[in-house]
Amino acid sequence: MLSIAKDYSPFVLGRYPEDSDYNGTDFREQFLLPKIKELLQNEAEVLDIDLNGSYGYDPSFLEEAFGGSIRRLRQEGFALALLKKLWSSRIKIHDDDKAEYRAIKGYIEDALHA
Amino acid sequence: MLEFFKNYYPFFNMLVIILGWMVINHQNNRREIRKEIRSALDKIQDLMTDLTTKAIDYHTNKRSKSAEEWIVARASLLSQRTQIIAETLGIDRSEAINQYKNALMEQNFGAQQHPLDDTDELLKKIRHQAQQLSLALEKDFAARYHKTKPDAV
Repeated sequence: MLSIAKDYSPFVLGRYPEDSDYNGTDFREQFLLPKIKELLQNEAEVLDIDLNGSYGYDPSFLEEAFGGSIRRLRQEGFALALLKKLWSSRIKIHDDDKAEYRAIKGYIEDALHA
Repeated sequence: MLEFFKNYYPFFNMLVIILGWMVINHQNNRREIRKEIRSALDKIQDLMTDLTTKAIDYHTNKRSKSAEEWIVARASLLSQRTQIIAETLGIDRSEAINQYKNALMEQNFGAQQHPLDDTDELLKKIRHQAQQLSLALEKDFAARYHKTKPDAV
């Protein structure tokens, strides 16, 4: 389980390091991508990402973290079909805020179909 | 037949009292829930007014990290409170909430030039999305308690 509030920070903000200390790019590079790469090496694993317990998320943080992770993995040569399968069945997002959950799903879909 | 009613009169009497109590209790509960939802909706409207004012103030002044943090936290609170009410009313307003949040923060706070002009399109968009969400919730409430049709937003 990767909890953004507990493992990273409950006070996240913005897309880039100049926006805040805890931004979408930093979270993606330091936390999310290493976890996803671990997942790609181990077929049996599932990654649970918990968004609860935070002070709040801005759309830029979420888009950069989630949409950005797909763009980065595509740049690194990972196949689109593999990433689609990964996000549809092996990465689970937990968020009590249904609107936010829907927004994240939208960022992931947009990045997968870009 | 008359004999039957005479024999069972106390029973029918009790049944009418119980049924009457059930109807009144149901109506009271419904009225109390309606009052609670109305009160929660008013608080949401106040929160939305504060958020809209603060966001417009933020976008028309020098960039402020503390204002950004305030907007993010309040928008999250608004989103969760709104969803509780929408779920109680049996309606999903995620899309309207996300559109409002996107307008407030315009995808990335830092991407905007500061300060924006008073006539900038973004400010109109913020007000418009706030109005849309506000109207949608009022219509959901009216649809539940005044039997009008809810609108798709």
